[in-house]
Amino acid sequence: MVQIIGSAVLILFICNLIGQLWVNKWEEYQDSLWMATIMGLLTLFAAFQVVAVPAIFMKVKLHVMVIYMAVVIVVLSVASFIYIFKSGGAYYEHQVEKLKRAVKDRGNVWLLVAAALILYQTWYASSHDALNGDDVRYVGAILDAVETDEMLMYHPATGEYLGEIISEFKKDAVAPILMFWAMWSKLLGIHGGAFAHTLVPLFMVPMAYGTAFLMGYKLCRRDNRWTGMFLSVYCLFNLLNHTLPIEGVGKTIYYMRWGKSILYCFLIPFVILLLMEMMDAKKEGQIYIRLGVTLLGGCLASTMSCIMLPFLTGIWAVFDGIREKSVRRFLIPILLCIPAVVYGLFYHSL
Amino acid sequence: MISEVFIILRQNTLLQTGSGVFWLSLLFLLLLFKKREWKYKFVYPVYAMVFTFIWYPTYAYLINPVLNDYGHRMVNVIPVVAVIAIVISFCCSRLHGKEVILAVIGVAFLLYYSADSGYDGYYLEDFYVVENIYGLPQDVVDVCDLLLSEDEEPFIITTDGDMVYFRQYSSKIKMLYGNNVYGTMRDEIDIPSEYLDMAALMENTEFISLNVVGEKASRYNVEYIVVNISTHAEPYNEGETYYTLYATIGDYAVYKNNSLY
Repeated sequence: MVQIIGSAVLILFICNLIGQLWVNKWEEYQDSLWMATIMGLLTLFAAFQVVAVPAIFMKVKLHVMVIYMAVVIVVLSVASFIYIFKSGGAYYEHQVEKLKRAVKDRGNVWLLVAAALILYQTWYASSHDALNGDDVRYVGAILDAVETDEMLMYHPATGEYLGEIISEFKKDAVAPILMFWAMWSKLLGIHGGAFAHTLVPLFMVPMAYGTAFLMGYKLCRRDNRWTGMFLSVYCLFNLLNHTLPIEGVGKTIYYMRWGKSILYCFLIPFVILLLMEMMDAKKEGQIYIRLGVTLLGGCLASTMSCIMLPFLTGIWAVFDGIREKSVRRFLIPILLCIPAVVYGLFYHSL
Repeated sequence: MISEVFIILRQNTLLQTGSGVFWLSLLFLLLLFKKREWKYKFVYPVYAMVFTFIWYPTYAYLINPVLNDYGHRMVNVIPVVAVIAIVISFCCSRLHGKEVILAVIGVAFLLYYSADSGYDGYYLEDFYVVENIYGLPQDVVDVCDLLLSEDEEPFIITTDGDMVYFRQYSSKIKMLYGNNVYGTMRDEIDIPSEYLDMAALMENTEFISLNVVGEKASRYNVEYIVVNISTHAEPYNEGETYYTLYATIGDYAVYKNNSLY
């Protein structure tokens, strides 16, 4: 269990480190621990997505993906270290000071309440479970990839060698979140089932609430008290209600190993935040790059990302274009959706 | 048209849960975000999504024909929880002192009773406390360890509710059929009817004839039959037997193919 918790902390640290490269020039979020961590994870999503989809169809072995991602992580982490060192190296000390001040400020009591509710749910998701038929496909595919080194070549329910991508695996080949988890499982030397059931919730549940926090902070006009209450109500929903239409956020948050949970609980709130930031952005180029990477990385989670995220982007692009009376502000976000649309059309053609 | 709108709202299980709270919050959003910039940044896009996916005419005549099976999933883009949370938290943030505590309790009751399922995070009925880091019953792990100590790739069948477990422990465990017999892998090549027969026989919690199942399974060289004896009666296995009891581990009885002895 110590290895599991340590690995979760390591993953969060690596994501935060890589994310520094995104936030250092972002005035509103320069200081934001969560924005850096989320952007770091999405960078890894995007880096994996670009290579994994053709690799799976070309029957490349998993260990090749592991080596590739290890190189990506090392290169980006070193770049980030160099940047932090050049800026004086005080980033993490500053974050600790910020946390101490936040805890002492009575206006932040609701943030602490929300933090307690989030920690409870993180623990609950990791220490409880409810397996269903879909889990055989997900965890079976992860285990098969880790133990045989071949991606999506074995029937998850029976272990029979398939030799080609069939049936539901077509979804998993175009949105290879399972292979992303398999890659991490092999890289860290952790059993695939343990990774999916016990480790993933430890960092993905806080990530999901990290996006909710950032979205709430924006909507609540950066008022800490209001944001804390927003986040507390958000948490209460997941604890007391079966609210979202199909899957129910109440349960979905506990299945963060699933791509659709990542889409509903993590990606959609974050893309909405980015789109609101896009409408406020003074330096448009930078926000468009961040949005582009997010839309590309989002395709890793689910083939539904190829429809939902472009749709969200399109809606906000329409209103941005109308408000600014600018065709360019309407068109550029639409163009950023091209990779997602391409993946969607490719999946449809299979 | 108006009645159709209401029909889809009534029939739309997608939004029954907490729907009243959501609609009220949506209206309140117009009052909360009065400034033009916020209307464009958040309110209008949310309304656009609601009218696209919940308003019957656009959903039935535009979205569903294009997206088919996926049309109903698009409702998930609407930030329902964020909308409700921002409105409720705004109202609570205007309170101070003990009023806030009362408001929080009120909100908790409102959320709990507005749910048609009343799921409680402290007692999610499907969830169980995991016994190990694999998220699997410990007995399953022990059975798998036993099988793997005997065989490099044990070939098994098991009772219906347990099919989801074994391949989540090791990819070396092979199954003649798994929960794919219930159609979980859509568009799959036809599953042999004999697999379906065996699955049906093993589903019977009152009576499993290991002679009948064993005769079929042995033709496919299945090495072990694993029966959950806490959910199923102990199998009948007298007369001409193909499998013999090999081990009992917790809730599971493991029967080994006689030809392997």
